[in-house]
Amino acid sequence: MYQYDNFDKQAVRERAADFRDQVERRIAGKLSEDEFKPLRLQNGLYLQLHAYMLRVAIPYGLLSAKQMRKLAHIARTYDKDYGHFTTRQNIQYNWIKLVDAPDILDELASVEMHAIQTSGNCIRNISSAQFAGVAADEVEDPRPWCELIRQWSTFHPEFAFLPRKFKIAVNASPADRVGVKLHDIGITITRNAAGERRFEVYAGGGQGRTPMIGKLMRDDIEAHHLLSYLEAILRVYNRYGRRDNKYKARIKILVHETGEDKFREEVDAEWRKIEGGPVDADIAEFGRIADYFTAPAYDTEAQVDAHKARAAMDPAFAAWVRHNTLAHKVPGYKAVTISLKPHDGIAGDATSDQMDAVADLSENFGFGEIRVTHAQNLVLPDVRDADLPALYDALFAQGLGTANQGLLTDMIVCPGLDYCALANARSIPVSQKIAKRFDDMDRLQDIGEVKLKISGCINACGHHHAGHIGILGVDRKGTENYQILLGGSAEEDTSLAKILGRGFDEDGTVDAIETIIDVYKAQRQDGENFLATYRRIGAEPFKEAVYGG
Amino acid sequence: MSAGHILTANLLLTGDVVFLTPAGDWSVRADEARFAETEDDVAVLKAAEAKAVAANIVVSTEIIGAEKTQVGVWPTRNREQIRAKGPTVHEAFGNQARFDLSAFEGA
Ligand code: SF4
Repeated sequence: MYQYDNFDKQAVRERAADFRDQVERRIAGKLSEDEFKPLRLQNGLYLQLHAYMLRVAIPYGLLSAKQMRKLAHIARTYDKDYGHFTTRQNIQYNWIKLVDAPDILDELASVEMHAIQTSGNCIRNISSAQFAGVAADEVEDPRPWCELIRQWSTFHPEFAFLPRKFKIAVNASPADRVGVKLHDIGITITRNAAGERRFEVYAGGGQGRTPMIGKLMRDDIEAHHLLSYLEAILRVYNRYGRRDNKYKARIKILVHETGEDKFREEVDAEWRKIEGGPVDADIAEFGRIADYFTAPAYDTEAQVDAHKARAAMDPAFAAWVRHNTLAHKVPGYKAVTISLKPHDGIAGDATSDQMDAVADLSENFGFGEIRVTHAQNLVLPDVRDADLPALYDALFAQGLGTANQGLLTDMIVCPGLDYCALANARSIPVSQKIAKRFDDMDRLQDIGEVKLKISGCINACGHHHAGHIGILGVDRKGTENYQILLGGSAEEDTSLAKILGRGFDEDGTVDAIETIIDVYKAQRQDGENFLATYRRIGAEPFKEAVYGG
Repeated sequence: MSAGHILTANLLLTGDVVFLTPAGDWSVRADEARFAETEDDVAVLKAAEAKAVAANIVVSTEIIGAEKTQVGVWPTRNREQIRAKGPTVHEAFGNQARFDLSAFEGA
């Protein structure tokens, strides 16, 4: 993985030292809260419902074992012994003291981590596929491109005060694992008919208050033009994006109001001015970056399907292999998803001990690398088939062996009103009740793939618009109420879920979800998953069952 | 039961959720909050709010709705009740872990 050079190291250390000084001045009363707030937010420190919350950047979701141990240490030393992995592939600590924040940034800097680009109207942490570099279906490893974009975007002087936050995701396989069309800019790395590398660039996608599917700007961007083309999009957005109304400030609104074609023309005109200039020259850096992402020393003798004997005797293990592992580009290896969705837990939460255990396992059964997924799980990318039984046993002992990846209880759940100052309703309790209702692995496996996503407000951190089933918490006259949406997808067949009808209280929501699943089971044909059945039969049968005739 | 207001904030240094008490201190217990029933009482809260912000003791101050019942003063809105207690999904965290707030269960 990428290693900081001296410039990176110094920049992060200086940033931590600056923040220490700012905190000291705030405590001494030399900075007012109005002056201090933008400074703390630039360092990922929010004030939430119960305390300060620190969001730490995990660039494109990639962590070393050493970094994971540091995250565990921070949770244990400065927080309440756990951290929360987010849908942006970051980690949040919910109980941070202001006085400790500078020490935490120093701790992070010691392992080449920080909280930059986790808040404010800048280009946020770049996200990517959790199986980057190992998935069998990938055209190439997107991580060096993510790193190139990270280096271009971090501290970019022109884009530090954009109209609104800006999220970029990079994918490099036919299977969309990042939600390309639901980002401000989404990038897919492809090959053209001649087998040459090209970048498809989408702009203007996003969830939140006004969900929009991104529009294809160009599908023919060459590698040496990637940064200048991104810069051109950002410049047009920075110039014309609305600053008068925060709810209309995202690029999706600009693209929508300008019109896709006109926006593309504006970008092209801007691009012609800078194409081939100093921004593009940065591509020379790419080779240096790519060298950090060379494949590890895989065991060329790794035995394919060496786990099969155990799977034949142990149905629980077999189910875990079926749901939580993915074909690897190297024969005899799998990428393993570690579920952070135990049925009695909180989606995305991991204790310090669990984080330490995952760090150890990443070394014992891989090359010391861990990924954070946008679905709030973790991934060990390089596990030999022969090691799967021992890994499963070790994960199970840590409460990390739930075999539900991609199933109904693998819910994306935002913190909601239990933690978040912006929330209208709690998300976690309703997710726990759903998990309890469906706490039967045979039943879950029979239901098959369902993406259920829950947000505690319209900001959609829980991606409810992109759920096969989405749940949106609202405040109805002081009472929590939940709207159910159906038919969303963040994958290559991107679609936005639609509201089914009036909302329910918590228990009513759980009942309605069960009814919806029953309709699916009764109507599904030939191995259809939930979304396919919904798309074939439409919303009506679900409405009828949930609300009566 | 009577309706009124209380002053809440977070401590600058720790972020802890606190409430202004009748003595002018800050308590992590909402049921110890100074209860303002009249406009004059609310003016007292506002003056205390300005003073505490200027003194850099608290941040994110807000005068919120509250009720005074037989068991004590308690915030009205669900959001503020969760702030007063702590996360409903983690009884070991937040103010509920420091004191017995069971009298306000379901409040
Ligand atoms: S969706 Fe709303 S409630 Fe949930 S984390 Fe985002 S802002 Fe908070």
